Amino acid sequence: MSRVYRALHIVIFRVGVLVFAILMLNILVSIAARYLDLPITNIDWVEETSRFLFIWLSFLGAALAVERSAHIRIDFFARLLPARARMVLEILVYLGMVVFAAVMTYEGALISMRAGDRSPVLLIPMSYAYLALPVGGAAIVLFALRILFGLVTRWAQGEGYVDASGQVEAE
Amino acid sequence: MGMILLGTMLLLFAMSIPVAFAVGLTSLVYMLASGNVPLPFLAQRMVAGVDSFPLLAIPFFLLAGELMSAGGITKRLVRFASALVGHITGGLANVVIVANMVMAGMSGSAVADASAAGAILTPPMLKSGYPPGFTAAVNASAATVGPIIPPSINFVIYGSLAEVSTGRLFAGGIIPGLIMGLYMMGVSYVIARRGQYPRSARASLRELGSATAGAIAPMLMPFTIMGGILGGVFTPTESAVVAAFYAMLLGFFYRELRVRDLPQVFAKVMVNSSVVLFITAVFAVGGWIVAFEKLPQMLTGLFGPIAKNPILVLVFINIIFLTLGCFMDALPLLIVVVPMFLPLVRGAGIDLIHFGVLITLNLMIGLLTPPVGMLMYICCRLANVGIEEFVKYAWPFIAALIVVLALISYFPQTVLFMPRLLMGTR
Repeated sequence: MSRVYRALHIVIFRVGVLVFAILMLNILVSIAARYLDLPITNIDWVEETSRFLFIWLSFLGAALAVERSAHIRIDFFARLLPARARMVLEILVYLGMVVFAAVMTYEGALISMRAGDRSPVLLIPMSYAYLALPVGGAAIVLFALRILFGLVTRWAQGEGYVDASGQVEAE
Repeated sequence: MGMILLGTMLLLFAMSIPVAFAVGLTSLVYMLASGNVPLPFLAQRMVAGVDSFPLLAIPFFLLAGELMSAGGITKRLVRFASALVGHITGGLANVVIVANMVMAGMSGSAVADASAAGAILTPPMLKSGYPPGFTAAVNASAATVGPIIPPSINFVIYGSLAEVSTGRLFAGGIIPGLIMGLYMMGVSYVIARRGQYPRSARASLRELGSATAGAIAPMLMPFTIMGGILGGVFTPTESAVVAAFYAMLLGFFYRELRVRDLPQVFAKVMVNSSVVLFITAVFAVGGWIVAFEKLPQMLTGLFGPIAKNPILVLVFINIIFLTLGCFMDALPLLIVVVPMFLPLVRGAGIDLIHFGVLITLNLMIGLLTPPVGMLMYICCRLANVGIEEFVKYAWPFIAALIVVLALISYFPQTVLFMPRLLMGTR
């Protein structure tokens, strides 16, 4: 199982970094082209590919953020709970995330299969943009499930929630 | 229905479900319950929410900030600031404020600035005998100028939400940012004088010269960014890419950045920007529903007879957001709550550029106030000090920032003068 997750992490990480780098290069080339009078001066072309890559960057990054527990949360009230109750709440939180990401994946997959329209300049099928949604969504589901699995195991063993600061809160 | 929706969202927030997922689940509940919004709409709106060229500036301004600290630029700016103001009463506190103001001209994020400058300046401050609480307070407060002095990812987001020019917002932040810096230096002067805090010896002319020489190349960046945007040479998004690229080249030139460091830096920035972008994507679903349920109009109704008085509206909005800022982070507030107030603001005849700058300052103050405040957390952790100790020293800075907020709220000219001067009256 952990090998599957390792592979998933590597794929998302590498594709994400690659998308980011190409995005940067893409815009740099377009600026250079404008001021150095290079023959590729069609700015619409750059803007369109950039937007496609940006959509991918956003959803792949969102999946990595789930893996790193980086999404912004308001944990003011949660911190007031005793460790055992906090553990149950934490399980509910991840269940909620899985539910939303699953809907996002399913609906995203439907729309990327059905969408027949193409981008105005390059005529790239819009499906390629929409595809970021089920790919990112599925990765979120998988990463969140792994964390959820860990939480449930620890809950079943009677443990309380250990806060990010690394201190076990007293029960 | 609108109230039930708001209640669901607040409940999910309180449960500590990540903001983006809480907004998404609320939208989902709404779609299933009302039955008049088809589910595929969700997917379509989420993609549309980040299908935006202006928002592309966010990852690149964050990348510029990250590369500045990885490539040794921050270090050089700090050295320059200490040669410049280290000998004035307040010593290193002045250095923190000036360094943050200079960094603000290149990076777009308060949180990134606080971790970068704080990591460099906290250890020497503690070693020279500044109280840890004061050290954390001045580092956290100084970082609030980051998103006010251009460039700023907060302005990029606000610009796209309120549909106003990001360039004008950038220009509008210049004067308020300078006022903030001066006020905070005044506060640290008074505290330092009373507490007899150490100050550094005046830098020799030679040190000042070499520190300045080291800072020249990085200091060209803010002028390139603002000059490029104002002169129409490039869009804010392109300026962000140029800034990131420039920071990368400098890092290579200083031999502090290696090509093999880049994937980790890129991945970190991707995560940090996606945290914002994912909220934006999901909110594109919720935002539509909010408009559908006429929540903003309800809010205007709530203000009743004072809804036409710009001063009173701003007083109330400032109080509401300062209060919310104690419990919520700046970016979720900006993306989720600020848009609900825009019709009210527009109706009261308040300039949207003016409002954008003052609400950003308001949200930055929220990052300093307990119990929830990102800047407070970061700087307390760096100085290894508790929140009570932080608050003891931070309140004069917070008070000063609230005075500046009142000032720029009451005098729209403080914000609007620069955009009008540099970019004409629309």
